[in-house]
Amino acid sequence: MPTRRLVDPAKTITLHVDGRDVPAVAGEPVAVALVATGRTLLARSVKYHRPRGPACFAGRCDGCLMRIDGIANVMTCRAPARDGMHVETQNVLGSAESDLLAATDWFFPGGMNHHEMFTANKLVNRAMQKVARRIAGIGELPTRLVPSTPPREVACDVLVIGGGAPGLAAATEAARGGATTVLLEEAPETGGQLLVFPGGVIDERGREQNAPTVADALLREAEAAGVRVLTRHAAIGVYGAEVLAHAKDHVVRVSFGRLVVATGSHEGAMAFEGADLPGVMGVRAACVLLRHGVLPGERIAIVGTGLWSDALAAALRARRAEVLGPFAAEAARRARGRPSVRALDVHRVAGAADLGHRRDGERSDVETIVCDGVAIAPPPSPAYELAEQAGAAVAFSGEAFVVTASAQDGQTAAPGVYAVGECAGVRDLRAALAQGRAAGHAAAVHVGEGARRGG
Amino acid sequence: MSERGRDVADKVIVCRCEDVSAHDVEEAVARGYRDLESVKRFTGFGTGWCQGKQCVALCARVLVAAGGEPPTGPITPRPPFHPVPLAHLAGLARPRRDGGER
Repeated sequence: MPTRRLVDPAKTITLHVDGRDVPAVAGEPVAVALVATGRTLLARSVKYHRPRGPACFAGRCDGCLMRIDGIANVMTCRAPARDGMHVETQNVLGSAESDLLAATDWFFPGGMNHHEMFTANKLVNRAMQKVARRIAGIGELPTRLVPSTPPREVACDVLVIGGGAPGLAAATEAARGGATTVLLEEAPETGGQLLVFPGGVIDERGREQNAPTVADALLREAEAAGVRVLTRHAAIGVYGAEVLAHAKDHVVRVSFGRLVVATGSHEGAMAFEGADLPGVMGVRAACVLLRHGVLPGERIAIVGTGLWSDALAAALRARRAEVLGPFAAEAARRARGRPSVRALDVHRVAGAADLGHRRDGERSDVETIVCDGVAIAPPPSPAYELAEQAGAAVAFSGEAFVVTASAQDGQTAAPGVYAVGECAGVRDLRAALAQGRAAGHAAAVHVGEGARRGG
Repeated sequence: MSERGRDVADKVIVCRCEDVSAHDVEEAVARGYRDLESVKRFTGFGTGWCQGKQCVALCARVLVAAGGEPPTGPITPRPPFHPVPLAHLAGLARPRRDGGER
């Protein structure tokens, strides 16, 4: 088994998965429970029916979509496990492991150009469109009627989106400045990357601390300042002076005076053959698994260098897993294995990270490494969506898109909208915290001014 | 980056949600779709579940490497930025509940 639990849980519940009973820890994400049993293949891709597994464990990819209790396309990495849940693979003919429709992938090795395929003859085109629509797809409609639920309404002076370190700091300062402050966090807990980083960080006072300890202190500080923290609330859009959020079974309309966007970054992706195979996941995703007590593999290759790669490597070794790499991002050539990753072709190099003397195109330079998991560390992709919709400018850095904001207090081009932390390209923890605090302070001051003018 | 011109044994998928490959992006550039928005419209990258969260930065890098125009801005992600059952959105048309804790 490539993936497994590090310690047998004391108490489990039962999920019914494709007709089989699977043990789970109550409340853990369904995707984590499935991966803990050694199953990394959870889904099939929409077009070629390629095998897919969770790549982000953060609600940002297509790898864990399944049907739960008759509802299609549930992101199982965000669905807490409940006893008796019915979980089904969707979009397959046969099973997830052997989906007959995967023939599409072999049939079109060079890809499908839907602009020109079967377009010579109208009748043929119409027939083929029917076939294509039948083969492609993302699940089937619910078997039962889902009742509509009324929205909830929340009003605040300062709204902070994102409960990572800079978001918590911003919310704290806004509340201390006298603003009624609400913080929305999509995950079950605040802390963002600090919550899962398996290592030490330097806090605001210059002390080295465990990352989750810092996250905990920031949350306590925010709560003491009077911030209303709403976890499991995903902000899904900004409309004027209102943010629409989604909670478990309803939406929430949050009206605000000032907005602080602290949405962090997405892990992003890498371009090598087979990078979409089950068992290939982000380094942060692998750390999420570890935090849930699940080993992402016995022999893990790490591609891409940096803080997260090093911390993951150390954490895996501490749990007696074998670590290969970290290799330079450019070294990865091909992830192999069907349906899940079993090997990685890397460009052979003298030092793990040194690719200075590679000779392109020579087979002898490529080494096949046997592994049962690959963790990738692409350049992080700042989560600019909400800030952009709120009117902030977004620029390409050469690596990714970053919200344009003041390094000092996060002010964006949109009046009353601040962007802080990684979404604004500030990756250093202490710099992000300082920026967050300045933004929270400025937001509270300006809300006060607005109220005085209005009054 | 994408091993073009060599023996490609498997697809290099750059947008997982819509199964768009690096080859598709390069082909789009070769056909004259040189800016990010046009490549998005031609290939469909960034139009799936994640609305580009996982893929847009990579697709932009592949586009630039293939000789396309360096992007001045991103594609426009469409809300909702997280999948929401229609029934919950439909609730917006219903009478409102107060903002108390649940």
